[in-house]
Amino acid sequence: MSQKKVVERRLKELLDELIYSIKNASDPFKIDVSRYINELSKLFPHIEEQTLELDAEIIYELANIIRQQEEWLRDKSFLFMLGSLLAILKIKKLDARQLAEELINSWRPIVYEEQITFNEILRGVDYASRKIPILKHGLLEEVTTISKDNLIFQDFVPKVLIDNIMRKIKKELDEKFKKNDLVEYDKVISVGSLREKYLRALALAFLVRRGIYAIYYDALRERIYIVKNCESSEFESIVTRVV
Amino acid sequence: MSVKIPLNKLKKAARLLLYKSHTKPGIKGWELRSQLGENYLEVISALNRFFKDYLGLKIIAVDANGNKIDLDNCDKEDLKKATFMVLINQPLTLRDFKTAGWRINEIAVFSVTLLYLLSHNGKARISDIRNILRSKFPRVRISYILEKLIRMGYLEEKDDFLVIGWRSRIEIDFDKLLGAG
Repeated sequence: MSQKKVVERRLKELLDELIYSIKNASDPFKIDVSRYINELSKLFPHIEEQTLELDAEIIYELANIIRQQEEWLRDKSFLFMLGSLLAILKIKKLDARQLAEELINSWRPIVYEEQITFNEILRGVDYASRKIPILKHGLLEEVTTISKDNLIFQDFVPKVLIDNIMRKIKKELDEKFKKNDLVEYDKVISVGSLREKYLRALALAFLVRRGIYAIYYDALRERIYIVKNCESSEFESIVTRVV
Repeated sequence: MSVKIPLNKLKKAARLLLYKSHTKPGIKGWELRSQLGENYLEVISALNRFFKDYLGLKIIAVDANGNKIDLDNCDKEDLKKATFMVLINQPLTLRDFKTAGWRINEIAVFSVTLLYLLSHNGKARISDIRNILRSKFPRVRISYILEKLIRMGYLEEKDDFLVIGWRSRIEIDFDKLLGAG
């Protein structure tokens, strides 16, 4: 094929591509004007009189895009200024639910699947089995979450005892919450023998999972606190009840 | 022009896109090319049509700064370095987010932080943001929520400043949030 034909074909392709892009681009900045100009400048020395018309048509379309870009910028700069005012107004006027709804209307989360290797599962089960004796019996047969009834059924902890501790902790915490909004986790747990500490931690975990209290970690002070879950707050979504 | 893509290639592309193999979700264009072949963009385009029509999902490509790249109108070389990922392509409800483990207060804190950042060109002092948040929400959970958002990539901490994170730039339509879209 002669060079003349090659240049002519390429110019036609560029023009088609450009017109397609103009039709489909949502904003004019999505069209890479400099790429077209660079390519035209390379083709220009080989353009002959007959194909000059195609070249002119491409330049005309590019000029149109630049004009659209200017208009787009003018509109957008106004919208950005208005947007800032709207943002501050929204922060001031909307309540938590309305603010959340504003965000989710413009939120399209990424979808992906987390992966975990078999070795990591084995390492986790091994770690858990050393920490929780009941898992030793069923290692690799079935790994499930531990409910209060599981523990009672496995004779790990007597039902009356755990119920009593839960009542006791709730009473203690309710007293403390009358004076403070935050109660230090360590101070609630660190009472009596090691077994007693463990049982108190377990009982508190059940109370938290019921949504009565929440755990708050203050990263700046590196301390863990217990906070009261107010009535309007939500329960943790992953656990709805302890059976 | 429609191109017939073998089903096993579509399955492989879906697996590569959805199965997280790096610390961040998504897969690079050059990785897709090496796994799916030279015509990887045609495979992605066919899968994208299936995702959009049947699953309410869409495939996007973003550059290193988190800016979306128009798949139909871009340099193919840029796409090799781009990260491809899958987004939900339909409106979600508050209930959907609660099911996914978010609390209303967490989303509201995120919303206020983003609105404030957007009104300040994407960057603001952490202390200023904390003050704004304290005026609207219980003080006790603010630090925890901000840390969670930073950990997830929705916000970034730079010295004493908070800036909009890579994940927010990908997932959130700022114009729409500002009411200008």
